[in-house]
Amino acid sequence: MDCKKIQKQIFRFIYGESDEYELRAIKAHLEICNACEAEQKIIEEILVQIKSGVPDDPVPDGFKERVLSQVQALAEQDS
Amino acid sequence: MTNTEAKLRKPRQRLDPSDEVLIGRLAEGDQSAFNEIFDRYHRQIYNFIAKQVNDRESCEDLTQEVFMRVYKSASNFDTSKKFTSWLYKIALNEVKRHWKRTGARQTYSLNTPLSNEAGEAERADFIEDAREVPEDSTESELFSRNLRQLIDQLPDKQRTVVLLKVYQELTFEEIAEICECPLSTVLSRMRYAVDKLRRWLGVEDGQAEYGL
Ligand SMILES: [Zn+2]
Repeated sequence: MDCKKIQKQIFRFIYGESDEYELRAIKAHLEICNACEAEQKIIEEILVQIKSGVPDDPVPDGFKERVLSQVQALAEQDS
Repeated sequence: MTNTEAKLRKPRQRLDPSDEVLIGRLAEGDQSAFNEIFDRYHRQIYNFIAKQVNDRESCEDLTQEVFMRVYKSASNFDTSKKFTSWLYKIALNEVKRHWKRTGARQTYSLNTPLSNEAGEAERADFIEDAREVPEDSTESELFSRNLRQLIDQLPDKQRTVVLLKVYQELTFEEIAEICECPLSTVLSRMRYAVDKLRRWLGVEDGQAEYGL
């Protein structure tokens, strides 16, 4: 695989979604290509930053109860 | 799993009974199946919506609407499909309907291809925006706020991929199913989005431009 093909597959590689054939080809390429290896590191770093940079929003208190009571009302309507 | 992979996604648990079994039971009128589905997914769906809709009340309403739809449409669910793909499709549609109703979706910079120069100008705008937050905000709060704005301003299709991949931790194949497009399209949307975020975030460029 050449650099261009590697870069097309790099996201799948980073997330552990490559198939066996891709995995072998990408690993072999990264061993010998500094540019692609550097690129992979940068992308990983950005992805980690993006992920950790926006924390999860907590679900508001009582939300579950509100939804379940709505569903209950619906169910009673139906019956 | 590598170290980075561990930071990017939690290991998946095998669910028993499967979602598809639960939705089948719900279709037959089993209320407790709904409770189980809700427990499994309401946090994820709330978070998915909250990253696209800013006010809490709407997030709650929309999340509720998603689950009401699951409840009402359980019998229409095609059991040969994956439940989560169906669920996220419903959530995406609810968000789109919300934007249509409220006209609230920011249109600023949408679909404008960013040259490096334009990217620089936009970054300057964010730094400008950041000045408006309370003075006691910590650095990580500022970063988080800016990052949210950056993600907001991605073109819709790219943003959807980023949200589903980075925060919802779905596989690219699952995302392709939700977005109803080929895997290669999902991968290039991810590439474009990450390249933009990278420019905006000012991360050093790698050595190569691949022009995919
Ligand atoms: Zn290379």
